[in-house]
Amino acid sequence: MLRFSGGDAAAFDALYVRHRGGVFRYLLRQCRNPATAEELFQDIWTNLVQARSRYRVQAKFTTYLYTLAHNRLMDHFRRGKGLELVSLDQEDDDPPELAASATVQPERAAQSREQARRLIELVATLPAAQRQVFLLHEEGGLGLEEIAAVTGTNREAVKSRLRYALAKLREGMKDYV
Amino acid sequence: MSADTPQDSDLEQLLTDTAELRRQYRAASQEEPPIQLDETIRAAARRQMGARPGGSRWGVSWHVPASIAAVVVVSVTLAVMVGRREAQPPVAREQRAAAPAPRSEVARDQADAGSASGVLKEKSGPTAAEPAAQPLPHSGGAPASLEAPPASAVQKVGRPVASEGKEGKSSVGPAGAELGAEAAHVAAPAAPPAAAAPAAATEANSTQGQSQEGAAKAKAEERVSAQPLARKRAQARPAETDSIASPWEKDPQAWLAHIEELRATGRNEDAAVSFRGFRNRYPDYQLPAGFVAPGP
Repeated sequence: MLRFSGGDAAAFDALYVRHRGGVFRYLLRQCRNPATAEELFQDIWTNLVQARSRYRVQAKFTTYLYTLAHNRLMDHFRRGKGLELVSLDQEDDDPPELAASATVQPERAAQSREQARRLIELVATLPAAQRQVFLLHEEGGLGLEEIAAVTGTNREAVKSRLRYALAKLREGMKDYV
Repeated sequence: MSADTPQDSDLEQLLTDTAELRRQYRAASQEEPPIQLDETIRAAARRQMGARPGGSRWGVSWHVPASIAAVVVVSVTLAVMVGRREAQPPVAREQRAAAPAPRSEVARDQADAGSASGVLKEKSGPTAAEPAAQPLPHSGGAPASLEAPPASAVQKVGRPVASEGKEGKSSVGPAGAELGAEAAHVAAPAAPPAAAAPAAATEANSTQGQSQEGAAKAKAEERVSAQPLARKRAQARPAETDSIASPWEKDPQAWLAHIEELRATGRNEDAAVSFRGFRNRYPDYQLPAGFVAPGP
């Protein structure tokens, strides 16, 4: 990132190739609309380029990048463009939503593909805060502290949300395991 | 991916238990941004960064120092040129302005060799670089009849000079004799101040009240112009180099008048010394008919 902030376009390409997939899927899973995800994705990278001169080494570049993505996503939700607007501060103690698991038909031709589809669906049905923590953990490879920094919450809240999210996914996938 | 501290053992256990689940998720989550979007973002990034991958800093950084260096060089050059110009005495500056260009030297030699009419024809259509050589029809070597050319001939010569700014006033001069004198002034650039400062001379000639004085100078200059060119050049050199001489020493007529004055007041020795200085300065000057050289 330092090379990139110094004007090295090749450094930007390296960063882009490394993080493009994770950021895009993070946005896609959150807003659930490919067109919107692409728009947000482009905005994030454009903002990254424009803000390169202000970049200071305070954290991992991945944390910085996903902070940009998170802020852009929250801005999108605040403008009422999101599919749902859920406070990230609410405690998610409600039990996992397993209603969709009853509709799964094991007669699908390819069980693995069905499993993948089901898993993606389960992620989509997670509460926003849990989904966000899960996606930052899986797509961004961030640790608890880094997720807390990105989302502006404390480490324990992140840990709790991640635990709930994993529990719900495991519960939802128990028919396939 | 793993929990950060030992207190997260329950989370660690959960992550271990869900490792297969998370592997399945990563296998299922393979969406990528469209290639067109990739290209758009990369192009925008290159545009934002000035499309200078790699050594972009050098591309930007050399402009400012180069510009500063260019400004400094031009400024210093101008300052030195102006300083030198200011350091020169005004007479020397005017003489330099009136000094003929090297090309005009050649033209002058041609004028020496050629006939007056030929010279006038040649000078009636000068090139842009020749104005300094305009007065040359009056230079030495020409027959005496040509030393006071008719007004029409002088005006022919004067017109190109008129395009040279101050000298332009000469084209509307009052009489042919005055014009001839004025031309003689310009023709002898290193001659005494009145002749070496064509601008001042032409300004003086522009008024009728001063025309008589111009005519008198013209007569004096006619005598000067009657001498060979080499003599006039020899006369010009000391005046160019000696810019701090006494006022009368710059004008042979005035110098001779000064000598006469010394002799009239009984200072014969001073007059003789002054006359020797006069001869040193103007060895070939033709003395007026009534002038008797003082001598020991």
